Amino acid sequence: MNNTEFSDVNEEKITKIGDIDLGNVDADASSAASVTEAIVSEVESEQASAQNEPAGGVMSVLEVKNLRKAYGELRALDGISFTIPEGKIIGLLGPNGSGKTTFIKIVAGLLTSDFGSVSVCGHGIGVESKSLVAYLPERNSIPEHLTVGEAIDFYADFFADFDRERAEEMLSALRVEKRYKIKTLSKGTKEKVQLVMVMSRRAKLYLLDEPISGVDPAARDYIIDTIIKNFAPTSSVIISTHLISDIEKVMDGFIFLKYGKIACIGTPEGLSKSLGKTVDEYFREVFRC
Amino acid sequence: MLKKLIKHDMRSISKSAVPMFIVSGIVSIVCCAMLYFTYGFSEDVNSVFTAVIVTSGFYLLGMVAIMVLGVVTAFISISRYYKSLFTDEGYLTMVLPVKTVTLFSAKLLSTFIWIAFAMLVTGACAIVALYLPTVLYNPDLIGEAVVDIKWMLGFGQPISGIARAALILKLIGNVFSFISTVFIIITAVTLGSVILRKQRVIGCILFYFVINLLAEGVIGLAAVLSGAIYGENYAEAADLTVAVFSIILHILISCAMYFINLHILDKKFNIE
Repeated sequence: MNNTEFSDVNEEKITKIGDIDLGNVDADASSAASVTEAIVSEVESEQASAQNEPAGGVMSVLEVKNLRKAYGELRALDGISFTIPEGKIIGLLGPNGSGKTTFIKIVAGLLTSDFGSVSVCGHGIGVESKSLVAYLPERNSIPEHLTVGEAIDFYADFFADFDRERAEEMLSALRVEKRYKIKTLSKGTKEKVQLVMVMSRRAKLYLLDEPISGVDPAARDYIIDTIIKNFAPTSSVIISTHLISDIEKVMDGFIFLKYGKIACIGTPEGLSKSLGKTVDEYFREVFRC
Repeated sequence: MLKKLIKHDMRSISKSAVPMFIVSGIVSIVCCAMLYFTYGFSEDVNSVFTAVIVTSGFYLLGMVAIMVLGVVTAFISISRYYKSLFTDEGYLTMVLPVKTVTLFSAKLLSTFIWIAFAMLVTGACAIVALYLPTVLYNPDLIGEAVVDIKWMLGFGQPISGIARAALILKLIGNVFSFISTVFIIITAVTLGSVILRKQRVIGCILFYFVINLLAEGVIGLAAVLSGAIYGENYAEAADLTVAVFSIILHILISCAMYFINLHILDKKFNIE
């Protein structure tokens, strides 16, 4: 991947913290001004080595190049580029309106981008990519008239990688019976059922948009455990959330989005080592109103 | 994948449509019984006049209910198309690993099948309620009904072969008219939902009237042109021409609507 082909991407302003390998990343990052000089130097040296595909023969699951999307005058995504190798759980973080959901929807195939490219395991967005991506939307998308059992049938019919046994095990653990109608379930239970459907797929890329926002803290732990248990080393997970502290312990890396641009990328360990802060603390600092 | 999509769509619509059909069937049987007993009243000189009036009132309500149920079932079929693509369900529908053409064709076919089925059931229920009591009361009327149907198709009438052909083509044209109407409704739903996102219902209705007006305009123009061609001889031959034109235009309109829908869903549709 070569940054020079994207003329107006301001690569120098990206803040990169820790030893995260997301290929090369491009974006404007005005928020980087708050970061110490030491970190900036570290970022610059690391960026020099981040110009190529992920090393060590590790396959990239997701490649994003100069992705742009605007709604009228509003630029939801403004030329972002990065690569996600397999076996990573990445937190996609940012305040409301930063472009997280837009990005996830483009990768899922729900939105068309205005410019740039996205590929999942080498496939552009289309039928092939959709068969590799498991997407959890921020709202309930399972038809309300279905029963839980019918929802399992639906996923099993359309997704070849759907593991029915795994789904039934997880539903049993959650004490959700197959005969229950989706419309009779509580909001939290609907979210759990939807997560079970998504995580029961053996997908290459999981896109989880706010997976824990509507559930109680105890259920959050269950959901996070489910994510960790069910994703394979050859897969990757992108989690978009505001509840950073809940997912921080499982993240391999994070990407901060601000006004449609990458403000910062890094690892929780790198951040702790460099600034002595958690991702949650750093997020509050970068995005302070 | 097409089969699987149709299977799931058919099943989804059936959950609402089948109970409607059952209710329609029950209402038609009740209506049939009421009309049958009303015949009995009318022959009896000592029958209670009020009972006849009350029974007739309920019968009328039953017939209206059958018609309403038919329309509601057709509406359910269309609304399923709308819900599965343009509401939260779209987040699941649009991430299925299927081509847009397969997805749209499946939804279209299941919508057509259920609307056609709703019309057939409504028609059957209406026949049960309207004609069955008469036939039960006087079985000789079956023969007369068959003659009536034949007459409607031009048999037994002193008409030429061209006129009969025009009549049959008109009936076939009605089938194509039904198909193009469903296409127009679906296109209106798609356009209204994609273009007027904040006022979807108004958008769908507005687009339906606009497209329908254009389609009717084109068909009307074809009829006028036929009249101009045949001049004073505008009769049987013109009837035949209009019937053929009408079929061709309905096919063209259906094709145009199909490709417009496909283009929008494939290239312009964003779930925001």
